[in-house]
Amino acid sequence: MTATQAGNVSGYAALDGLGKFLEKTGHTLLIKGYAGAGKTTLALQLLERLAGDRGVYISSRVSPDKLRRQIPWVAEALQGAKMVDVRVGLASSVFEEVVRAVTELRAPAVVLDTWDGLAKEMDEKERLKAEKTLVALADGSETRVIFVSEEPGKTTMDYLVDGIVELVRSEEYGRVFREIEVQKLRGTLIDQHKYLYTLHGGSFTHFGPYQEPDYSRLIPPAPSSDPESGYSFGAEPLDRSFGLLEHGTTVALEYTPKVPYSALRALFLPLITNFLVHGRGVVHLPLPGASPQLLVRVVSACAGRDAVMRLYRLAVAGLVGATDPPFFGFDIDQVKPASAATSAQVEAVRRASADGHVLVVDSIGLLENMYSTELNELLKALAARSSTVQRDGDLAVFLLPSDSGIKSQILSMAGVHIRVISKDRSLVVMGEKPETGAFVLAYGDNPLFPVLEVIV
Amino acid sequence: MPREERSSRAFVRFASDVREGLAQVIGSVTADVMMAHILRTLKRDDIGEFTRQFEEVASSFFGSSSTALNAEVARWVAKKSGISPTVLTLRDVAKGYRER
Repeated sequence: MTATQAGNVSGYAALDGLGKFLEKTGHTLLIKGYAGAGKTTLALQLLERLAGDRGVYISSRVSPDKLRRQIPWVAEALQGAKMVDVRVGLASSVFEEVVRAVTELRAPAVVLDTWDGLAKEMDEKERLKAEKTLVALADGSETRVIFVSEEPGKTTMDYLVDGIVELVRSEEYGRVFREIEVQKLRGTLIDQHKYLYTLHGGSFTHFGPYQEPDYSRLIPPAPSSDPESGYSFGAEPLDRSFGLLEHGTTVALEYTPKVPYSALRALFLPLITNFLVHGRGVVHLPLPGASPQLLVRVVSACAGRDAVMRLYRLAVAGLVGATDPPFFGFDIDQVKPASAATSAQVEAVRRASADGHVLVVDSIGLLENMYSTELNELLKALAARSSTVQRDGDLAVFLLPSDSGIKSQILSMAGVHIRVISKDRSLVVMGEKPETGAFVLAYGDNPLFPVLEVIV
Repeated sequence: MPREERSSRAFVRFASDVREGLAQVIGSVTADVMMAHILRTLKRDDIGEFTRQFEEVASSFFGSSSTALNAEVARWVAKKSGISPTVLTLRDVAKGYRER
């Protein structure tokens, strides 16, 4: 089992209640879902986990050989498991195989994939009796029986089995999301009903709730190589997923209301760090309500105190009078003086920058809140910032709330648009410009570096 | 009719009625599988032996639920054969078949 800090776990162990539910022998589980949802993959992973070489897989759909070719890990992981091909068999052959697995082999788990294919050949009354008998057979035995079903909607089996999970698909922002819905686990509390999952690499991997990064485990990075053609995000998974950032680009990082700030930091903190460790300047206007002290502490842990004092400037709204680096204050009432103060800081760190380039990170939410009566002035100032960045080959990041009133204007200035949303308590990142797949955000051993798991 | 022939006919009728009763309770697909298990282990065509094997197979299939299955099948077979409906188990029904 592999697990990241965010809790995405291969298999089912952390999938709310399912692990505990399947610890009990005699339980029956129904896995439902559309064709291609990964029902067989999940069922085989459960079989491997529960029974290893003592499991029995009864298939009415696909031959064991084909299965081993389609899902490569099966050949090794279920080498000793019994694979029974009943594609041309009758319902009685299936029942006979289940009886053998339960009473003679005393298999810890049996998968029947799929039950519907055979059940459809029976009349309704006969089917109900056969299903009741199969469930009774498992009940009180040492075997968990897992039924796989492609039938949409409720069937008689739904009422008979002890547990039901359904694999469903939804579409948002033009992407297909795979979700596992835990509908029933008799005798087990279900705290979270839906999880995102991926079938990347031929394995079923679901994603647990997003967990805040533990910054006490931060490890300062070595500088990421910045090729001539653009800036690195400072984290290989981000470069791989979204590509390099061309010099002079404005990046819009859009986020929905439920997205925690730490998730946004996962995207811009490696960038800030990479600029600083390359000896470049950074001017940062933080998100509303974000702690400046925390930011400085985290950035210092990543890039070193010396680089922060020389090259990093963090705006603190309303701070007046003399301020000590890395902080600087700016006017909270009027756009022009605030913009002038920020520009002065940009030029100051540019002079200290090793190659004369700077990164500017602006929180649009904070600016919009402060200058709500001067939105036109604000847009002018931001357009000017974007133009300066373009002219000087710098980089700007606009942190953009999805419900911002000036969203369309901000997006029109951005050459790169990345969206972060919250779904089923996980955080999903996707490139809109250029368009990419959807990735679930997590953390590896070093919380500075995000881990992006593609949803396929 | 010789005693042996009478006994053999009673056995066939009993086994057939039990199969029918099983099909009523657990469905014909599963009843056939269960009957195959019973007949496979049967050493001789004898109602008593059949009843014992029925109990054993039912117990290995259904564990503690086998008692309820036994009673349900017994009730159905008794009703069909006109044996007292107060019987509790297949053993009681078997007695009725032997006595005829």
